[in-house]
Amino acid sequence: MTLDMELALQTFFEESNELLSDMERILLDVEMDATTPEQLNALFRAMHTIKGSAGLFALDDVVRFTHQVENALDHLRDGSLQLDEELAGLLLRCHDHVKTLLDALAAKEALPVDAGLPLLEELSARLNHGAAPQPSAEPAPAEAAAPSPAEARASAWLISLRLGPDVLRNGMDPASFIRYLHTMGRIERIEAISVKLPAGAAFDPESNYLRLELIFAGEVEIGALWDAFEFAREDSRIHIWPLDEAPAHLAELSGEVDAAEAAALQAVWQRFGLPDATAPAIEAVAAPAAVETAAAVTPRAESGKAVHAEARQPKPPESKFIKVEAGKLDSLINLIGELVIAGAAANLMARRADQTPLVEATLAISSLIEQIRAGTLSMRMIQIGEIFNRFPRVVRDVSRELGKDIQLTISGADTELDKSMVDKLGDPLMHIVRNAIDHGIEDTAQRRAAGKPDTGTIWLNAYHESGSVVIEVADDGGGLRRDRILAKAVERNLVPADATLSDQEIFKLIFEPGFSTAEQVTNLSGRGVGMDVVRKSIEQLRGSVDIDSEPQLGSTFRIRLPLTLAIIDGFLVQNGDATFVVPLEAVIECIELPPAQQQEGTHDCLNLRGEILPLLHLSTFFELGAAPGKRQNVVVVRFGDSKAGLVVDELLGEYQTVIKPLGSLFRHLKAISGSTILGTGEVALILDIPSLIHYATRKESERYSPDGEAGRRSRTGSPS
Amino acid sequence: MSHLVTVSGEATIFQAADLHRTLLDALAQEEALRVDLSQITEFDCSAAQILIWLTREGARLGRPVSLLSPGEPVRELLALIGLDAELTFEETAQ
Amino acid sequence: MAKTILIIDDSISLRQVVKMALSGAGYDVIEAGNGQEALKLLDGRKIHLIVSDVNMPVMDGISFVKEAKLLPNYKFTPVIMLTTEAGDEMKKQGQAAGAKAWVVKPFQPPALLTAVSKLILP
Repeated sequence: MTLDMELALQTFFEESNELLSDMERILLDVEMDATTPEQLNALFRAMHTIKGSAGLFALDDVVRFTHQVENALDHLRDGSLQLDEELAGLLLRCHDHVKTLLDALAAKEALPVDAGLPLLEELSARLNHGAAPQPSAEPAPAEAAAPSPAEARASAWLISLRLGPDVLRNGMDPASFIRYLHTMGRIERIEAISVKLPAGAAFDPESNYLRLELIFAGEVEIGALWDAFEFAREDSRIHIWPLDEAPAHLAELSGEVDAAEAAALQAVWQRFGLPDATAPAIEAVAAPAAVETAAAVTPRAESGKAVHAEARQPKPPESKFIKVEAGKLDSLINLIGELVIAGAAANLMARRADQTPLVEATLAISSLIEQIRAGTLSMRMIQIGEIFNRFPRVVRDVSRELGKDIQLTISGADTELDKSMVDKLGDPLMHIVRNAIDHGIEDTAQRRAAGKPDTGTIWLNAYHESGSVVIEVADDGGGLRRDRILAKAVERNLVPADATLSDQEIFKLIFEPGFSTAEQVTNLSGRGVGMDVVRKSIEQLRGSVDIDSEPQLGSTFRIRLPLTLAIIDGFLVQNGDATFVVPLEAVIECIELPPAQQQEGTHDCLNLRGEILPLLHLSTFFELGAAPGKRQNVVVVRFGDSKAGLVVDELLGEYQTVIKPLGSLFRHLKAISGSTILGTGEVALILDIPSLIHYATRKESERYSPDGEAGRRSRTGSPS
Repeated sequence: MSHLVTVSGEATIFQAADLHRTLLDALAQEEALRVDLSQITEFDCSAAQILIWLTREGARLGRPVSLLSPGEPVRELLALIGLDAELTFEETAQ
Repeated sequence: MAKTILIIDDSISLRQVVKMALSGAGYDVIEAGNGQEALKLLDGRKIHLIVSDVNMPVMDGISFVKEAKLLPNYKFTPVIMLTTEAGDEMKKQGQAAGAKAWVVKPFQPPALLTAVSKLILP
């Protein structure tokens, strides 16, 4: 396959996937509404377009399958088949199969063609049942060619063309057919007969009056010759005979036309050297090769039948998109990251040199870089609806499988977040939703007993909140059972039996590795992974997840994610020689540490306007060993609902920075999420605020636990 | 005096109605018509038919029509469909 | 001068392949994703042939042909409709609208090239 073809094939996969998701969305929607002709047409078009393009790439297996589905959709469209839940389900499975086929093709794997056979059987059963016309046969590779009985072959042919009066108006010049014949062989003789061309006012300059008689030499089958005139058969009289059989037909041909035309015809044939067979009136044996398309069919279309394809209501113009390979955007963002650093360096130099105009110039550049950065990052932003859209299907299928009645309500689907996150968010979200269906929503009997409506509800919601994206999965089920979770956690040695934990902390235990048990894992939410994998994937995205739950009212899983992974606005702090970056979105305020509390260990918390704020001394935590500065500051940071104060020597201010991921060597460093290079060329570590807060709050609570368990737990449980 | 009509550019089905009208008017006003075909760049069967009609109509009305200097597009088409014997041309020195 | 063909189909990949095949054979190709986009291209420029899909969003092929046939510069431009073998009714509508030639979908590039060359050669 040529490179161009490969590229086109990639386009084909992309557009097919888009069509398939349209198809899925419609099939899931129609159950709630009555179907509209637009929806049915769009369904048809999805299969139709995929089939058409697949044929172009000679993907015969895809063509065969989509053809049958298209056929069923055509019957839906013309009303001879009705869409019901069962058929929608079947069509969804057909949709899945097409997707599987295409995925296999894209991965250059063997196609699971047989998996489609039962689907086709079901489809054809539905079609026959619905008293619809029979499913159409295999797609014919081409229209049945001209009636071509017997494989007539000859090396010379007589062709008589009396093309219809409208050919010119239809954009078909008789000469173009002759030119085409030239590409198949040689035209030995040709004469145009113009006796039908009227003089005077009867002449219509846009009508065809010419008759063409010609001898064609070429080793072709008669079918191929017929095909040459395929598009001009309407209202035309065309005869094709092997040259040696032609004379026998002159009489018959002459009989079709008036005397003047017959005379002209005979004269031409005579000049062609064809013996005049008229006189000895040979009995006209219909030679098998002689076929005539009678002037025919298709009078002007009757306007009687309702025309499906009327021009539809004008729609708003479609927005234009350019597809860009994600990798290109990534490398652009990477470069912009470097540019941000270089810009900061230039600014720093300018300040040091104390050159005001230079400082101003670098500031102007920085502001432009900022705009480019924002613009480029926004290109990576896509609507979360892209993942939400697959959930109606999941909820529908899974709830049906479990015999539960569950509806899904989606809101905030237009909330945008980074594309790379959207890609990685699918699986954890899927897991949480499945968990909600499986464990969250009770079965109907239980719901009735609890006085709830039979239909359970799951909500998917997304919104922006202070520099983060929040995604909520909520259900109106029975809620998490606090006591059972705690008991199980104790049983599995995840917490000591006498631990005093808040509800939040207890709920979070379900994310601990090893919490999920075989007894609890069903084939649905299970899939061999526990909720710990969910938390891990979300944390890899620098996000967090927490849970609200009320008995009998339901649970809410709340995922909090940064807007983007590539660049953060940071707050630069210094401890001794080390510089750290605190993600700005986590910073609430900065205060000076009261001198009375400078000495660590005396009070590890601060009374912040009546609120207890656990403190974390970075120097101690990172064992920097430097003497604390004379004046110390507290950076108050927040993650979710928890707050903590980071004690630092110096506040250096806001700093925009590109995250460089840590190498695998440092992956175990839980309190550091990445590094960055400062304008001066120094390396600064980016603090992992959720971990630090976790550590600080736990340390604080340990102070109040009555026994010496604290030490052991702080090592096992934190900071993580 | 014979009147000269120069057909230039495309002479195809798209211009057929206009060309026909022009020639019809010219034929009604002039005693003799000379049609210069040398400037034609595109020529199809509809135009060939118009030329046939024009010579017949001229003969019918007793107004001589001569076709001058057919260029390559005209000659090519007429030969292609076997009309070259039907129409006769006069060459003129430009 | 190469002859110009306008290809109208909502599938980008189909247009890509068709364009490759036709340009390879020596035609100039311009393209549109639906009837409405195509109408915008009918701005007076010379187009020798139109190849149009029937079922497209925004404006389908039949409506497009009806509109195009009203424009003096395109009323006689030949149209090849890309039809389905199931769409006999569609073919009739297309023919009534003035599209007298057709290629049955799915097709492979040589089939389209053949159909095109019956009407115009490059």
